[in-house]
Amino acid sequence: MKTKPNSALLGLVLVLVTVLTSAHAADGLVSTKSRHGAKETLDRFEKAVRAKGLNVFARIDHAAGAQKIGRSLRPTELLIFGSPQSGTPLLECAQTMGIDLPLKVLAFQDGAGQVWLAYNDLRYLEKRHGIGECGTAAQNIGKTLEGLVRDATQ
Amino acid sequence: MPRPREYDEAELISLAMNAFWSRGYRGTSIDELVTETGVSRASLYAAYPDKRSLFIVSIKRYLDDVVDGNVRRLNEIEPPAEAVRQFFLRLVDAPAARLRRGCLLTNSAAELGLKDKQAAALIRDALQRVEDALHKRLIEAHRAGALAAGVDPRGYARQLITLLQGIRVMARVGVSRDMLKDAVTAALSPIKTPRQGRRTPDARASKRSRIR
Repeated sequence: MKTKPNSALLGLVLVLVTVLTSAHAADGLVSTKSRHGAKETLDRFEKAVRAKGLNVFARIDHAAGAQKIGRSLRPTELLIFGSPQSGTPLLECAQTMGIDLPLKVLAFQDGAGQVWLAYNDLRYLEKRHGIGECGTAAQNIGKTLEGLVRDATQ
Repeated sequence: MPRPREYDEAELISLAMNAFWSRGYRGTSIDELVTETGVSRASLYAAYPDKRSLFIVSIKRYLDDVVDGNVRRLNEIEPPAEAVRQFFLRLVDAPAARLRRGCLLTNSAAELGLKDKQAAALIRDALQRVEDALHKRLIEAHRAGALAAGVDPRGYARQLITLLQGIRVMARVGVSRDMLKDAVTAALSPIKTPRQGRRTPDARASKRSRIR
């Protein structure tokens, strides 16, 4: 008798959890809350990337793109960056890594106004391309990325 | 009428907290605090009749600064399993001096035990807060299928808070970083590596949700 209301409650909780986390629920995506606005977060990240001597290949403002066709998006901006030094070992190991390199970070503001900085989890990319046995290159990139994201969002 | 205090209260507590943190309760004297803070002995005693009252205030400051920061960090990364993973990896990646210093709560727990009941209660409460923060994220991780089969979030949270305290004590006496990293890697093994094509409720929701 007691199980029915409990499972209804659990169902409600699950629905709430689902709704609350849906903005960053994509497989293999790691999102970190930022204390700054979306543009400032990406500015900070870009500055740190350049200071590390990495290349910045492109910065793509999806919201600006939407505006061109008369639509509106919340702040959503992508930065593509990297270096041959860190990327080449991964490409030597699995050529298809080329679809996920250079690295990307996405700054976006969710429906609640929270800004996030998101990136593909390197452990996820390792699995995707089957490069788990290719040494520590991916792990090292992951660690660097985690540090850069932490600094840009705090 | 009380005389206006001619020193910065927040800064005094911060200095005291750092002294207790680095040198312990017994290793810190009021004389040193007077020298370090530049606050006159009379003013210091007027605000804090004894070392112990300053110690209790220092512990409370630590809860607001360091413990709150830890809880916040556990809540600022998605997915939840990744938040827990990065929390511990970051811990053992801290600069050597930071690791050597340990944690004011852990250091005080080891130094004083139950001799100071109020301090002990504050420390237990703080450990409970961090355990609860870990537990909350581990429940979420569990629901998302990110924990190995059979892992109980509460038991796992308790294992991790105990690991955290163990790391704090061992780093104090200079145990190697590699050893601590190995301990963390082993302890994090119930957290699954993100998989391709996982169909969690979250993933389905993200397909439906629009980014307008």
